[in-house]
Amino acid sequence: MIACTVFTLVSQSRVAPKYRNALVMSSMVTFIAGYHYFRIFNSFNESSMKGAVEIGTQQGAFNEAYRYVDWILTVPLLLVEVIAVLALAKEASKSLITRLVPASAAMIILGYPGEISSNNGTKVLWGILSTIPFLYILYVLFVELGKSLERQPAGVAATVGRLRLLLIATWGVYPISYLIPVLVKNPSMAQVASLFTDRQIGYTIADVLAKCVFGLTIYKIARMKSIAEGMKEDH
Amino acid sequence: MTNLRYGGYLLIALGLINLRYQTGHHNVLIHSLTIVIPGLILLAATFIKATQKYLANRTSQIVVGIIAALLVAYSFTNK
Repeated sequence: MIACTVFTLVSQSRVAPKYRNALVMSSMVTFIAGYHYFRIFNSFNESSMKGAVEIGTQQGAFNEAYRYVDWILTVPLLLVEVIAVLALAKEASKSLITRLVPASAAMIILGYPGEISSNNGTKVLWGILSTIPFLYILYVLFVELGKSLERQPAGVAATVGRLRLLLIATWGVYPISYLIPVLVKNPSMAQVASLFTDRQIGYTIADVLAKCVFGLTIYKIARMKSIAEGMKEDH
Repeated sequence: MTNLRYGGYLLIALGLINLRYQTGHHNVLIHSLTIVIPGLILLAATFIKATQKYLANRTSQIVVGIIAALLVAYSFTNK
């Protein structure tokens, strides 16, 4: 995450000034996520004892719901990055941002009660509720944003199309990880530990893909657009 | 001005994550507010016309940058 932050920061001069905002946002997202993982390691260490990890909401326990603090701070920025790199007209950008940011916040907030619940029914219910704003985000990205892609330079529209697919693929890992505990009925203690580990791995992979790979794709789009607008390729 | 706005947001984000992960620790609120409050002030200052002209000054930007860098370092080191 931190390496990605450094890369997007030092690559500022390789894109036209109007796309630098998108790269700064990308570096902020990966830096916040990097800091979050630093704190996750701290929390994991403190809650570990003799090979076991205490999980829960009590003091000193590892509480993965804390990930939601990170997500609510970074996920809206990921969507703003997409709008920023397209450099749309001010009104079109504003309209997209005012719809995408609240929807992404709602998606995360609605997922939180299910995350901290130990009841499978509650998890599924909040999971479904959280999916509604997610579907709305997809609608805006595929239908509304699709209209503006016709005005983008050759190659950029295709890359933005791939970016949207990347977003679905990486964001799809989150609900799968979220639902991992629901998959096994009446799990043994060993299975609970294994499910916990699987969920951590799932969330971590999703974070790396959704923040680093997404940020690098944003960089690629910014670079392609800068070259299409006359920036020298060897710059 | 936009970069300063991002800086303010970053400090708020780091302070909030710091607060969540250290809940229950001694002086956690003071540690986190040390990061969050300057972030809030910086973010607010970028929206107020009277303070915007001070922030546009190169010297002010260097001072803000140094303070922000120190606070980011503090967010990693405080326990």
